[in-house]
Amino acid sequence: MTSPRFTECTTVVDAVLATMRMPADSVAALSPGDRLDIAPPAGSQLLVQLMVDGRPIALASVEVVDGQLVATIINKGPGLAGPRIDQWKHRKAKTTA
Amino acid sequence: MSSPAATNQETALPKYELGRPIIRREQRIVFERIHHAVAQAWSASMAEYLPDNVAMEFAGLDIAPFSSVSFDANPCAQVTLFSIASTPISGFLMMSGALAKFLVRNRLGLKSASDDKTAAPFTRIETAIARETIRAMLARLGDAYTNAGLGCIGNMRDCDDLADSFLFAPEESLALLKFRMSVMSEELSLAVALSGNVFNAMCEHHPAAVAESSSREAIINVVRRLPLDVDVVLGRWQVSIGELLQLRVGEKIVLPDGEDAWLAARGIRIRRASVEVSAAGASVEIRRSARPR
Repeated sequence: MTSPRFTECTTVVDAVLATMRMPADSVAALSPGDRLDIAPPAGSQLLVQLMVDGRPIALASVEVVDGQLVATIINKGPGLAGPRIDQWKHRKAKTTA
Repeated sequence: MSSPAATNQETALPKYELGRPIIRREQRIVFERIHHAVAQAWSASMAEYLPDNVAMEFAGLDIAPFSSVSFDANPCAQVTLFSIASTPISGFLMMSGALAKFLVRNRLGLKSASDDKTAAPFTRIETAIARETIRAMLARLGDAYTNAGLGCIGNMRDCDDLADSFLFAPEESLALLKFRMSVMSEELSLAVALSGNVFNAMCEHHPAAVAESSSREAIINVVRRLPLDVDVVLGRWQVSIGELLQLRVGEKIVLPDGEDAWLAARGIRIRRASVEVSAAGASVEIRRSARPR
């Protein structure tokens, strides 16, 4: 039986929109104003993972509704999505002379 | 001399697609070297039954969507699907009907091997020989991938119709490695296709570079290429275990708006960012860091 007190414990949830596999030097080269364009793997939609302590607890689709980002849970439980690496493209910030 | 307009026509570049894999020059060179060596290994393994002046050559690397891959309609054409163990990489080896027929007839010691232009399908024995030849070629390809740190080829299966394989979505970008064998002024073709993410996998493995040099420069170069899984985190919030237990499929949650997002690697915040989400994907703008005092 689940103790009512246990369910009152709090934890921290992160909303992870994408995961990119980047060489360390590309990460180091990211500067203010730079942009990263991210596309999900081909044939897939943009998803957000709800993570607790680095572990996925739920997977949700994302849409913009009335200017708000709304996630709809589509699957729940650990190990639900497997490794998912999104495509990325780095655009450097435009500098003025 | 050609006019500028004509030159532009000749060098028309394909439209850039975001989903197209990114391949660095060094990765391309390594990838091409691996497949040049594979072509040599294939030629060496077939030397005992092929004519003296015939060898397999690596003809280049191309990146193209799955929908653009044309399958040889010759009934002798062969396709074998495979995957690379412990990675999300899948692929296939596609041998043209003419090449399959040439190899099979040579293995059978038939003198007219290079003259056979008939479109007759293989007999069951010939099909078995063709498939065994492809398995042997995949074994050598697998050895090369294992040595390069890409992983082992496994889960091989023959396929009658590539379009029905459900291996790739039509728009998925593939790395197409083309090979050819020149026989009597005719080019017989073979292609190996791999998921576009193979280049990411290559980024993970550079053991050869470490082994070849002990200089500090070499170590730095390897470290600079080490892959980091970078998360785009929209935000974080506190929630009770009870609320998490009540999460249900179909439930909607309003997420942080992305203005105070960040990039994190292995849980460590590395950059502040703002995120805009659209139907096609997301755009992340790196922001100036607010250093804690």
